[in-house]
Amino acid sequence: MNFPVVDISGLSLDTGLWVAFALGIAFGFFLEQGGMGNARKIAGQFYLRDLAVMKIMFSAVVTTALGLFWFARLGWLDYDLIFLPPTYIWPQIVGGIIFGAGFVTGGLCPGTSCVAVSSGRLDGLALLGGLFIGILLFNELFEYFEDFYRSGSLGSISLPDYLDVSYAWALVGLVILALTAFLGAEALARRKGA
Amino acid sequence: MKIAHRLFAGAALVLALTGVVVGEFDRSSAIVATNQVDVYELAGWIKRGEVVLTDLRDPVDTEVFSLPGAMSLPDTLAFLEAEGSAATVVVFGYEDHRTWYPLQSRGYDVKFFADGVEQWLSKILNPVIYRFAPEEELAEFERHAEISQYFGGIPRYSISPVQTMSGSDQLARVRRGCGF
Repeated sequence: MNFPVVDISGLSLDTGLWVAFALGIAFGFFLEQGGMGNARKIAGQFYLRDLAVMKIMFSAVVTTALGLFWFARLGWLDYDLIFLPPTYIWPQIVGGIIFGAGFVTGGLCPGTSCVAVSSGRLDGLALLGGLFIGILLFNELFEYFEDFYRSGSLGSISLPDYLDVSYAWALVGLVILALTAFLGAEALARRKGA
Repeated sequence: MKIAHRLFAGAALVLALTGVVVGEFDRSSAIVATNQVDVYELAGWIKRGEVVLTDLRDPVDTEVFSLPGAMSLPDTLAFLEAEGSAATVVVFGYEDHRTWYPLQSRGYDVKFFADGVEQWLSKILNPVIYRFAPEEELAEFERHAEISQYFGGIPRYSISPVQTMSGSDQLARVRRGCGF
């Protein structure tokens, strides 16, 4: 269950939905500006030709992690009110493999396919069609793999909790990891350019 | 690396390291541990009509069995608003304080019954103790027998230490319609 925005911000449900709508528009706008509506650019990540996806996602992760920490530290945000999806390790590994295969085949993920459609790209439309067919099939066949779907539950666990370190130290590790990835991406780009 | 990228990288590292220096933020989830109520205390409150009970589980589960007088979260909110009540609300069935935050944000005093339905079944409705248990345990069992009988429970003495049914097994019996 996603935590309702109305109770965090004190806004009414209608206002909360409009806030979500505005955030969605902003999210789509910046994805498109970053080139995430282009299937070739996204697929380039998997062939290590264009690492923009990695850079954009890692930048977003670091920005969000830092923002969450400092907002919570300054008392502007109750960290424990943020919805944390539960971890079901085995089905999520299988789902990740299926998602990755679809991602590299189609060059788009569900989110960026919406961005592509909004840019008038037919490949995005095709992917969205496949998405809805997949959702329909999942629901029709769910009873056959429901047990596996619910297996490997670790609860709503975060990386600091799992590693038993403070959020701040996990944040330092994350930033170092991100910077290392960015430097590695640049080195790879220089080598390919050479 | 471009200048802007270097600035971003530097700022990120400084913010992260400063976070280590200033220390961690407070975790409101700690209220789960500090606002708990045990099964006998809860039974006493229910008997005296001092609490409003909220069952956070799925309707599929609440229809099988729930605590006496328990309502869903939406019904609880509507009830409290209609009554203008400032009663203590005891929630159970889902250990995530975000779930009952709508109650706290409206200023109600919320307690968490961590033991859950299974413990209610095993300790209130079907309490069993080994006949030759230590005296202190037997005395405590007898103290709680009255509250158990109030809710229709049948306190029993077992002739063997292992002849007790866990709360989850009892709930499974209720689901099958076996009852007690």
